[in-house]
Amino acid sequence: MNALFKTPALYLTCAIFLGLFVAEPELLDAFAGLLISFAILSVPLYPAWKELKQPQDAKSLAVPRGNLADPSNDIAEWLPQFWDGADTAPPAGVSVLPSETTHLSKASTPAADHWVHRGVALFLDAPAQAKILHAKKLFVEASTPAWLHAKEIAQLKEGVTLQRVQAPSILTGFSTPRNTGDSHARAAQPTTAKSLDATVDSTGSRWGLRKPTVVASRSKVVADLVAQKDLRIGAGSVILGGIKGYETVYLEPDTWVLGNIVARNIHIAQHCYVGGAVLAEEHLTIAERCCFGDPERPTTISADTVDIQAHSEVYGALLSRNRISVLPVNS
Amino acid sequence: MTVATWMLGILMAVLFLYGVRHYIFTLNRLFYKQKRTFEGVQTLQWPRLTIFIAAHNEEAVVGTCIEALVQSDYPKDRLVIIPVNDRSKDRTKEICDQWAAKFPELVKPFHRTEGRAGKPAALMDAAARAPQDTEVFVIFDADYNPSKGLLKQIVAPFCDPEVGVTMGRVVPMNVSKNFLTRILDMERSAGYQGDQQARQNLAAAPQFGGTVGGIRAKALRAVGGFREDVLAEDTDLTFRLMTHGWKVSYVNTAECYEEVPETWPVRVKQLMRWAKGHNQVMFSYLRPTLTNPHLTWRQRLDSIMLLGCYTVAPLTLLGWVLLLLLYFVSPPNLWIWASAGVLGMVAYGGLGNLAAFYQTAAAVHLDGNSKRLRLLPFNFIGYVVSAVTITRGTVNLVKDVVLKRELVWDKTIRFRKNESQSS
Repeated sequence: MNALFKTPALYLTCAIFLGLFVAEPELLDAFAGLLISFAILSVPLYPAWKELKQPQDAKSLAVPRGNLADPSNDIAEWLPQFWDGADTAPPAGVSVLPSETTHLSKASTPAADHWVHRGVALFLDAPAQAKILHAKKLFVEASTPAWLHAKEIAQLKEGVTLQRVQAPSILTGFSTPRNTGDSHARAAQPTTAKSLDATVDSTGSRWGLRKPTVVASRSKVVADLVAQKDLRIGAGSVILGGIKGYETVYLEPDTWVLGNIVARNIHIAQHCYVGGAVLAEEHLTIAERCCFGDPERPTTISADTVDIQAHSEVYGALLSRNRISVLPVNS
Repeated sequence: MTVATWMLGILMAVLFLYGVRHYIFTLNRLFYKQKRTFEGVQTLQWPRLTIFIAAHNEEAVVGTCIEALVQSDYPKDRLVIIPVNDRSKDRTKEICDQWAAKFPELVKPFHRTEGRAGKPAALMDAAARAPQDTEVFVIFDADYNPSKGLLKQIVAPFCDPEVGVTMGRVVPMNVSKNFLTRILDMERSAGYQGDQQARQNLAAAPQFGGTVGGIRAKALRAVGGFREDVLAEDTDLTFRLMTHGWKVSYVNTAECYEEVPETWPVRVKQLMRWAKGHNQVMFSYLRPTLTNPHLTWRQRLDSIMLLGCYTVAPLTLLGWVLLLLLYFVSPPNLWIWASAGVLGMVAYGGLGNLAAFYQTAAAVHLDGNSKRLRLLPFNFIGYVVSAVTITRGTVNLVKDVVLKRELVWDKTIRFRKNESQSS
């Protein structure tokens, strides 16, 4: 800067400008306007320049977003699976519950984000204000916002609401469901694309349904169904492929779907079986005594909101982005 | 003069439409419900995967990519990793073979020594050697560094029988290197966190980017595989699949690190390649997209605008030329000043460096990195470079077509040191 003031060119330029302003006073206004405009336009550049020279925020985004620091913990294998992309901070401490059988009441709930039960059975009798709860056998008798994980089985009592649960076997209510699919598989009659007024894609394995469609009871469909409007699968039908619905998909009682179901809304009546995933963009209702996946092929049920009646079973994961309600059978 | 005025009017209308499109994307991302149907899916009967790692002289990075994929939580009995070593002259072959020796059931390199140059041709040859029971192909460029849970996230949307291809999110890993990497980081945020997710939400047409993505094997076979005579095989495949009724699904949480160019010459070459490749696809698919019965009108409009996105820069420059012409040869009037205003706004605030500046700001904000937004005014430099480079690329493409020259591409130079070698 000092060197600049020693430059004769600077003084010469100033002298020229001074001379111009004296000779033509209007130029002074124009020059002042120019300077003010330049200053205003430069204002946003100052923080930019500062950020460039002294970066405060130049790190790469953390990928993946969620990670538990302690890798020796059981939950470490599971936690990233339920990690919500919206959360960026890593989880806080883990509280370990050591006894064989534990009943968690309001008085005994520890103050921690993550609980790990090391014993055999954990009974959740009171709302647990935890973020994640892990046990071998988990019996949920009170609503909780915690994300639940069981190594063997999770039983959810009627009337509870929760958000996410994952286990090899998830039972709603406290009785065994009935899987009725096999007998219906034998009774169903093959259906053609023509009878459904469906278009067939170039691979032959995907049928397109442009209008609201009802598949007759006890039909057997050997392809994937893509429905632009509502789709109703008649009682006792068997779909060997998957289903995509842009609107609502209804499965009537005793329907059997081997593939996945993806739709805006899905309503599943009683005694249905779905082998693949059931993924609803918005709402999913499941009536009593339905079965999803099997022990060798676990699956995922997911939606914004899930209403599931008692006496159903899910092998795998039951997820919601808002809430899961376990309803009594007569609701 | 009338012709120039009309041309200017049409240009203004096109640029205005692009501006509206990006406002819709931005508002959707900021204020509307986000589509997250496949997020969190971790338990499925997972399809059999074959992963291709496209590698041509990638000794500096290929080991890291293989290592990351080996550590994936995807069931190993349903996974094969094929590093596609395309005529490399460095240690790529040696590094791939070291990993294959360590994990013989999992890593099965394909060393390509002949055939047409380029990624599409190499991938076609590799696809022919993939296991017959492959249900989904997943593609990574060798400089990508996938996280442990990425594969499941990319594959989950294939539960939808309409989905033919999926795309994950690309996140630069070398952000702090210099000014260029920092503005490219913001551009990537705008492109993925902003643009792609908005298109997914709006049931428009997200794009497959050729890496960090999966392709249903049945769909790839149905459309005849990769085209070897195009530079942008990813865009070409996107539109070919859409023509055949398959959908693209974008997964914003499937984040994968990549290395962005650290010098302007490398960035310019990359942009030239993208511009030529993308515009080549545009000429091929404009008409089929307009008449595609599998697309809704919203998807058609978005697809057409996606196809034309690399013409926006030349159109903006043409607009300025027309504007100056009209200014000097006819008396200035309100129409000219209005045009100048809109073009100026479009150039700076509207379109920015391949993404609207406001869209960039919204996306970076959604990423939780608002402090780096202070750098946004300097993005104008990136915009000017992009505008000129894309225009050059477009002109070059026209010359290639007219003179019937074969399209040539420049490989993007890697800046990472040799940091990963299997031991």
